[in-house]
Amino acid sequence: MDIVRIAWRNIGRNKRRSVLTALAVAFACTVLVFSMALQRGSYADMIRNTVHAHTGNLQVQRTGYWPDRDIARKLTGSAAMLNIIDHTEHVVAAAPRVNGAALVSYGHRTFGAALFGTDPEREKGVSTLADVITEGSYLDKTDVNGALVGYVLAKNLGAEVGDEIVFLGQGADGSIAASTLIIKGLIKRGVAEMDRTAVFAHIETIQEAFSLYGGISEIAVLLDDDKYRPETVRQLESALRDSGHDDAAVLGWPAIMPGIEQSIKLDWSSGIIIYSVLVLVVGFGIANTFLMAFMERIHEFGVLKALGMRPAGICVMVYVESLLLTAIGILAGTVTGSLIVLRFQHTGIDFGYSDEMMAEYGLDPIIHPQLSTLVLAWAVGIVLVIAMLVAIYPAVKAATLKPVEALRHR
Amino acid sequence: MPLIEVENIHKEYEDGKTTVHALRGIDLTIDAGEFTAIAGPSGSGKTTLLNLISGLDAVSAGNITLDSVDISSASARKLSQLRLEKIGFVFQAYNLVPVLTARENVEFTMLLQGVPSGERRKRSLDMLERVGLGEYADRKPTAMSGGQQQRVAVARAIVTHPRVVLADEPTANLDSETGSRLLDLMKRLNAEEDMTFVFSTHDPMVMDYSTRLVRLHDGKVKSDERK
Repeated sequence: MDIVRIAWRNIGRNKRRSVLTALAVAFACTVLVFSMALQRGSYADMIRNTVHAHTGNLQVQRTGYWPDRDIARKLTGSAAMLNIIDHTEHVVAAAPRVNGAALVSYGHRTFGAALFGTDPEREKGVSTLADVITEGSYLDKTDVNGALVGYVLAKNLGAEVGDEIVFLGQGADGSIAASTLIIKGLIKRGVAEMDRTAVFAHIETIQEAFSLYGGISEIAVLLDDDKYRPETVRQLESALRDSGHDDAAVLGWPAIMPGIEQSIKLDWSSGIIIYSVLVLVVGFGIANTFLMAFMERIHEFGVLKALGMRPAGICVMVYVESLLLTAIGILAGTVTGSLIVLRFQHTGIDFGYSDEMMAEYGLDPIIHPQLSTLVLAWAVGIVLVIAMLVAIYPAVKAATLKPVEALRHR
Repeated sequence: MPLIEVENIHKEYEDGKTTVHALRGIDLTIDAGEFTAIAGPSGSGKTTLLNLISGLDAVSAGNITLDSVDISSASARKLSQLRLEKIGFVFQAYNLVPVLTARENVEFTMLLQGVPSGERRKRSLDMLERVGLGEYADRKPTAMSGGQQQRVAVARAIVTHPRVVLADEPTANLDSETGSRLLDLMKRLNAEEDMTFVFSTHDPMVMDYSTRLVRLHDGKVKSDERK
């Protein structure tokens, strides 16, 4: 028999109240585990979509190309670099690209466009370009004038598959970059900006039009898992430097798209605040039951004091009771929340009703909640901290009761 | 040798807008081994005096010394320690911890004293045997009669061999036969252990059992007779 066992038995005094309190804690914990897992899952989906859509897990660029993306800052010797990259551990595929900006015209209509010169075969391995064609077909290896156009851009231009479009831009040497392209297919990336501006064509065509003479803007690299990104970046930096490509820089996706990482951090931080406030509301309910349990036992605390129990001992006993009850609720809530997350972790949850809104942010309408140590630690941490805070008052109150007044209390 | 020395103590408390004079200058000395009953009508100050002697309440004026410890100026922590080591309590309403068995209730004060569990168990079972409740060791208070609960309370009070047992109306909730058996038990412990007992009571039977009877009236000692 010790203080913890006495505290445990005290929990069983009013079973209905204890069960309700534990359920309130469990409910808060379940909601937190599920919501946080959904949030983390949406981030993972967003990163995966972004990486697979275009960017790749990392890119090799010329030092200083990012963030201005000056087409004149080109990489040369791409064949040798691709050979090194292809033989690097965890690399699934790599594709060279040229990125240019131009005005694209069809008939009387002209719109600004982002031109991407790419190797059709290699691009298939790196991005989902070949999978997002809604009309027409993918770029043919031999048809160097073929182009894939964002479906919104094509609609704005009034062009269709088979139509000839003209682009006009500025080459790397300041000359005029102009050429014609035949629309081979329309693409729908689900990223509004891409669908509105993207034109993909053969890398040789774009290199020639923009006077790049074999130079490229970047090599997009896809890895078997993003968790290997930091070590692959280090390996590639070292390998490229050793092979004489001193002007090559290796950038992970967070460096190329810092906005995504920042928005994830911001969203996560604001989520934590909202969850804390929600749990605080539940905490007031829990505090009420803790306080009721204290009020019922004031006389008993007087007896314990008369028997010689120190104020600190009473404080610890009451506090341990609250924490045990909280621990039961947290355990039940964590298990329930985890089971719900595991149920949807692979199938995902379809938020199809907000398809367009999610497309704006590069999100898939199907979100896969993701259970992780981080999620469990935060969910348990928030509930535990708030429960510990609300349990302080009755514990201190019990400890500071005047014995004679407590004994008179009925 | 005096165990408890009460010197000119006063106790006043506020009851709404009026000041109640519960005790008005009590002087009392109780020697070790005495079996003392403090008697008097309701409101005479019996319970207040016991509360002051045990340090559960603070005096308004005067001094109380228990086993050479000045209670009047002791801190809350020191008073807890004093009650734990030197005082055993028996309450009118038994006041056992409802979630604990009879044995665990008896063990409780030893737990607070840090006595190892094996020794606690042995001493508590021995004590329950002594008060005639060996077979009730694993029962919870709710499964015991009033008399049995009060005997557990006595066992709890004396298991740590306190210098004094303070009993506040211990027979008030018991029938006369049960009350008589309880007093026999306490009288025996008083004789065998040389343990000091101080009762507050208005029960004539307790007064008969006592070896010293202090009568209070309106917060003052009306009479003090040794038998």
